[in-house]
Amino acid sequence: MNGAAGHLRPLWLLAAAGLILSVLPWVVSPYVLVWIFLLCVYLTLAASYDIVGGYMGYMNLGHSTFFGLGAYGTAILLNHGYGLPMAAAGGVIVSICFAALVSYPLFRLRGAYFALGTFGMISLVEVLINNLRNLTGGSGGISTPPGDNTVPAYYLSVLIVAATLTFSYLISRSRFGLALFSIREDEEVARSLGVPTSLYKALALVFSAIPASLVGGVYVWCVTYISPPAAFGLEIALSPIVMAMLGGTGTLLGPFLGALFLTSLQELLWTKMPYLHLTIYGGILVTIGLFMPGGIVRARWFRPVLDALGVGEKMRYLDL
Amino acid sequence: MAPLLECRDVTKIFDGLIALAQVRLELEPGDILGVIGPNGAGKTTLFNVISGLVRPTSGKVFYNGKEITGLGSNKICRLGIARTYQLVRPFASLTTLENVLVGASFGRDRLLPFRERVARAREELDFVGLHERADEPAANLTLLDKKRLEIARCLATGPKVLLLDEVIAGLTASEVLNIIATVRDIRKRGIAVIMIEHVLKVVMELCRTVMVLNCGSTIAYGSPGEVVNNPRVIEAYLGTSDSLHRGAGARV
Repeated sequence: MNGAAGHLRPLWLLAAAGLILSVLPWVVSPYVLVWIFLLCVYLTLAASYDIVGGYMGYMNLGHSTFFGLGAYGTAILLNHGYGLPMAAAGGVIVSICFAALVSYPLFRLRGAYFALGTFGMISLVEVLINNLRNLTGGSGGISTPPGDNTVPAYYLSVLIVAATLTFSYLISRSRFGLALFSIREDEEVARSLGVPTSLYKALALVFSAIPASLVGGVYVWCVTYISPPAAFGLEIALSPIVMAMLGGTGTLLGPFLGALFLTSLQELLWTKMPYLHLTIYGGILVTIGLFMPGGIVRARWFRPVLDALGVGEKMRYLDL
Repeated sequence: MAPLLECRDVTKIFDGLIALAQVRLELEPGDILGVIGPNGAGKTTLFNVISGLVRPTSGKVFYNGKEITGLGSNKICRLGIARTYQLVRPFASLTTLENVLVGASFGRDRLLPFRERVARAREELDFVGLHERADEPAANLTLLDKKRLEIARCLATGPKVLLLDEVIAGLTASEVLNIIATVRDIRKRGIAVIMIEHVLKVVMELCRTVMVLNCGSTIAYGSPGEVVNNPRVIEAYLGTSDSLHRGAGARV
């Protein structure tokens, strides 16, 4: 890395990306806009998953629960006549409370047991949503006041992604982040060096729930409909995690690359090969898991790209 | 005045196995207490009880006259008791400096600003002689360096009491000398040390007081000279003099 120019390059890239993204609604078709919107939704989920799954090393398979709670909370409040800001804030508060509540029993588990426990969390909430018919519409789902919110939802989703990545970056550079890394490496030792592990694990779960539920709120506002399969299905539960792992967990760039790669691949495959796309999709995932277990950012062939972007030096620090 | 650290009749029973039976110890600032004993004598369990990793079945631990029995290990660390592990456990994918920074960021100096905490971590790396490897991932260090790293990490928490669990095990003779010098320097800083050690020569050289554990009980407690001549200690290590004679007789 050669001094100031090298450090400035990512900033220039960000500025250029910001400019392009802000003029995009006038340039591209609504179809592309919605595609970018969904990419942003997945990216937010992948990046927020990574706070618990990557930084702290606890595989939270139930991360989409927060998305679902945010979506349902927002939808219900929108139907009661609240505006989007209030409704989304309500959805976020619901999922924060839920995260704080479940962190106590869940973090008594470790490893595969934790992963299974969190996966069960999805079903728990799904059953609740299915049965609280008066509030949630049951299995029929819930519609929100109609209207075309595509363009503002697009802007909002881009902003949420930017905020989530910034938030994640700040965490990785903070004392809190250092504690999460130490918990990932050896929780018992971290605790014996003074890290308040129980509190920090709960905080990490709450922090990862905030972006996920917020983007859930914006999602339902844009799509104007949410149903249990869309909020608590396998697709929304596993895609963000696969994206984070594919890109490289515990890094800032990883979830971003993974989300970009997978959503593009999905789009390409199902338009070009509508009958084979799921098979090929699965095949590619298995291949990557076998040959690139550290994810794209840690693959040797990717290093030149990182250097060209001017983030090569920083990656090691974020890798921690 | 109350001693810096005191164990009163600490007993720990695991599923009917008595790991510690009414162990007492007292530690004053600047002391180096050696804990020796055969394998399975309860030495590491004693450390686990003091550092809050396990709760004693009965008995109490006092620090500066205040009871700390049953406190979480993070709280005990913040009060000023730090420990190393028998098998080294560095945060493998973090760098050496980051490892020590965890100690500096969550021990007694946790409220200092970031730069000062990094400076503290570097000081401790310097102290144990690891400053040149600050940016190396901890996984790449040699065993000696990993042991030094564990010591530095503990010192960065600002302890008054340091528990060293077999720091010398597995090291070469010259590396042992290096660690002995470090322990002496630690004592000069006014930090009290309890060290579990199998190498008697090292214990004799460093410790003012030695405690011998066997099957969870203290069988001797005193100066190194007294302890090695204690018949019960000899029995625990070598068997009874009776069986020794018989063994010798049989060979002849």
